[in-house]
Amino acid sequence: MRITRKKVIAIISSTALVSSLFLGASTASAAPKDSGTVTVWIQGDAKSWPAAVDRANKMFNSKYPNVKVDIQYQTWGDSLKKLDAALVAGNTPDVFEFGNTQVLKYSAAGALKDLSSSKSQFAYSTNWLKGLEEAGSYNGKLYAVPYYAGSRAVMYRTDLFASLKMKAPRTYEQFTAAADKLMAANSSNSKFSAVYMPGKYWYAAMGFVYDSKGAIAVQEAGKWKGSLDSAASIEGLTRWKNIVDKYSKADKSGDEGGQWEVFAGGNVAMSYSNGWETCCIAPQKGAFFPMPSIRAGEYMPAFLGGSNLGVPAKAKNPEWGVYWIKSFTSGQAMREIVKVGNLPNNTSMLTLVKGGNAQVAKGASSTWFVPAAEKWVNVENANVLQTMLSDIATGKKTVAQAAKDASAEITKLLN
Amino acid sequence: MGFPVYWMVTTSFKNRQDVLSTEPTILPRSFTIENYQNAFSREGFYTSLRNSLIVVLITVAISLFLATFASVAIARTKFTGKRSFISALLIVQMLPLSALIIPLFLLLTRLQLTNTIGGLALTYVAFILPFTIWTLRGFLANIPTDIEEAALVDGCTRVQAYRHVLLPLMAPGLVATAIFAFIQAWNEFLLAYIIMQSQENLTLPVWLAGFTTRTGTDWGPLMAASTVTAIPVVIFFSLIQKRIATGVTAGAVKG
Amino acid sequence: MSSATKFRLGPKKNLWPYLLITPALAVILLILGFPVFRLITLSFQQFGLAEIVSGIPTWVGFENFQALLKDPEFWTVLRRTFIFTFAMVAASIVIGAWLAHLMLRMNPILRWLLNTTLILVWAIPALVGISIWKWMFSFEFSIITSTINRLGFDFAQRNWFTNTFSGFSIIGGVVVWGAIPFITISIYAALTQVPKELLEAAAIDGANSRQIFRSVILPILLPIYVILISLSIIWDFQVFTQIWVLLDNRPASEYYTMAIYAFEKSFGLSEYGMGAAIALLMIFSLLGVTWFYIKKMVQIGDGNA
Repeated sequence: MRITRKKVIAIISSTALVSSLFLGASTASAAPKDSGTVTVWIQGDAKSWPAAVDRANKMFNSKYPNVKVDIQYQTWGDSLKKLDAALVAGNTPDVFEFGNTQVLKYSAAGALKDLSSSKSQFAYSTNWLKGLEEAGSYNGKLYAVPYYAGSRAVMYRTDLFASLKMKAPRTYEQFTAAADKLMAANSSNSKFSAVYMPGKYWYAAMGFVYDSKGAIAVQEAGKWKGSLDSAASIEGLTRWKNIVDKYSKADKSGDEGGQWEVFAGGNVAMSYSNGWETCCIAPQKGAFFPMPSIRAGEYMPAFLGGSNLGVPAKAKNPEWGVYWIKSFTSGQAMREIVKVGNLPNNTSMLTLVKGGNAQVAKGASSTWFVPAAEKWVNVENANVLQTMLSDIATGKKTVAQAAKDASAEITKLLN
Repeated sequence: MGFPVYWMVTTSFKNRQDVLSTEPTILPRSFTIENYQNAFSREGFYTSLRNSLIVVLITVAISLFLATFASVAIARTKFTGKRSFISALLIVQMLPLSALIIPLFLLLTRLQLTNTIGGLALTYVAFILPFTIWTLRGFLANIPTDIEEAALVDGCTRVQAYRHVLLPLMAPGLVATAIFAFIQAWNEFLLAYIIMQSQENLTLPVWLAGFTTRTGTDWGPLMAASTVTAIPVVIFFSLIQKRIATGVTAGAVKG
Repeated sequence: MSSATKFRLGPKKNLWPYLLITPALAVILLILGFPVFRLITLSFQQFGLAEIVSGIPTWVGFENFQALLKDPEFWTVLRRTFIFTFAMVAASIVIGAWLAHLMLRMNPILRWLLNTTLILVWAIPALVGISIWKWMFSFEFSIITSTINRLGFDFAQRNWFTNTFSGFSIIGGVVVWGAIPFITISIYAALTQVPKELLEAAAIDGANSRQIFRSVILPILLPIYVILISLSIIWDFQVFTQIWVLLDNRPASEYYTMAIYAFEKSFGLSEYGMGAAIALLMIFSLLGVTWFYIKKMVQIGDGNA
């Protein structure tokens, strides 16, 4: 039989066809192989703590030396869209960073792997910050590991306080007294704010509400009910409105984005700020004190912003994903994240926060978080809180009326 | 009109304090190149610049090539289905990208075109073709058929007639559509962000988005980076813009 | 067989046109064919996170459409979007055309300067350009406010967007600003195709500039105007980023246009079935409005063979 080219091709292709059947039959399941790539999607913010990423990779590679770590930095705006596309196409990363207000929806839908059984593996998991742990859990199960947090405290002008011989306030009365003094001392400056409080700053306003023991929404018999119209909430809102009216020249219909820029401009004595805002207020000199509660000795609850890390349920390498998260939230890596000014994901390390942020960390022992409702994101999207607050700040509605309308809206949206 | 451009360029040279001043002045008060140093030293600048250039040039080349053929068909020939083809072209323009992005990504995944420069360029071409075909058709329609018929009578083959007679006359149209294709692809963000997966494959707009983090935007360096991003477009434009100025009939009718 | 008829053989025998359009058609069909089909099927489904996870869509028939058409907000937003779109399109086309004609008469140096400025404006990354405008109108840092103050007027810091008319004017202005380069350069390119001799002849015959425009320029420029207007309508109708950025990612409901509405009601919630339904309704609305232009274009396109 002559070996013609055609025959050779036929033999090769049929061999390939047959073997591909067998190769295809081998499992593509989650049985860990020895080599490959673990895909990590975290936000570009992590470029500010490269030492943490390095440590995580080293720790990961010491257990999995032949697995390459592919870190892809995302941007906040459209990262969820990208995740959705990946989920639909069946090509998901092994680790994904969620903002803590974003993750609940995905946990509830079953998009993330249940990490409850691995919880004890993660460093400091018994002491995780409540705000982050709640955000990453659903129905008692853990779906996304706390990553890092940011909190808020009052950033104040040390020079202005010194010139009026004032120390950082420790009670609510001292706080308002200081503000009064500052306004009096600067009455000739029409742009001066003793306390810079934009009208749509809901992270701040809700702190007042929770401090008065009010709440955004509560669960009653399995259903959510907006509770901003409760007496306690209204008291908190009224106190907040007082601050806006008496001490602030900020935009009554604006939000707090870029408020450090105004602080840097020199016409602000105190602002309710994130810990990292001290980076950018030059030439002003600022320091922090935790916002006092109306109850002596306590701090006003601060909103814990932050991120959680999850493993998509259909990830190709979930075991690697979990281990990478463990590496990235290990004590060593977390230390690097804290060094740069963030809050760690646990209370034990709060004392490690140095410098200006130490005061912010102090206040982080008292926090509030949004209602753990699956449909919370609808409330955020509809801007219910912002609209209510700017209506109050501009005087368009009374506190009682605005709160009543907002509560009704929230009840509708959450159920 | 050009004030924002002026503002972008002057801000890119301002020191940090001036960038954030609450008393902005029209004339800049400081001058520094630290923003540029900051921008260039960021990871990924050179790779994303390279990627953007490659994607864009491929996109422009392919779309111009395909559009030229298609526009000749519409402008110079009759064929059944012509009306439907034209209508389809116009309706394609109406598709909102955000609605299509998920099925599009799914398709590209199946075709194994995700995270490839070719895949991204091909996608851009599909979106750009309708406008480019239509515009070239318009330019062609304004060129009287006598010209190419004269060339054919003179002994040219059809292909030669196109290359030596039609193409030069279409030049202004080719330039306008080339610029359109260039800029559409150069500044496109969403598709580039979703389709490209690895860090080495980022394009400039995605790289630029990295200047904004949870803590806000790094304005000075962003302005510097954006100024640099705008330069290749201007270069591209100046290289080909001479063609726009030439009138159509100047050389054509003479023969 | 004369060369003229070579192109005009009956469609049955002549494959030439089909060969010419096949490559372009192939690319368009390949990339957009499946997505469009999927978009249509999505609009009849509920396709949120639950369905994405399970991989199984939930068929809901016309429910998405019913919910939308019954929602009064949908109609308010639709109407508002149309009015806003027409204002922007009118402004863009008028200013763009005016600039293009101006360029024709300019001396080469000025023309080069204007051209370069237009290209730079066109080339600025959208987010950067919009952010600069946002800055110029921000509460504390507005250079407009500070300039007015410097000129002697006492202009307090203000939020330019509390009043929706002022807000939409600014947003519209930013959109038009971004749209003008494309329109001007396209019209200018088309204008250069108008044979000088015809213009001169008409002038000699005593026609004034308006008559020249109507009888000489317009016929040649008609296709370009038609597509610029249709494209502007289509693009301006879908404006999203400008509103989103200028209003701090949190536009109030008075500022909702169709694209924002679509995001808030669907894409922002990962509800892609509803999003597809909204997209289809948007396309139908656009078809309705641009119908005249599309018919004209098909006529023009068809009539040239």
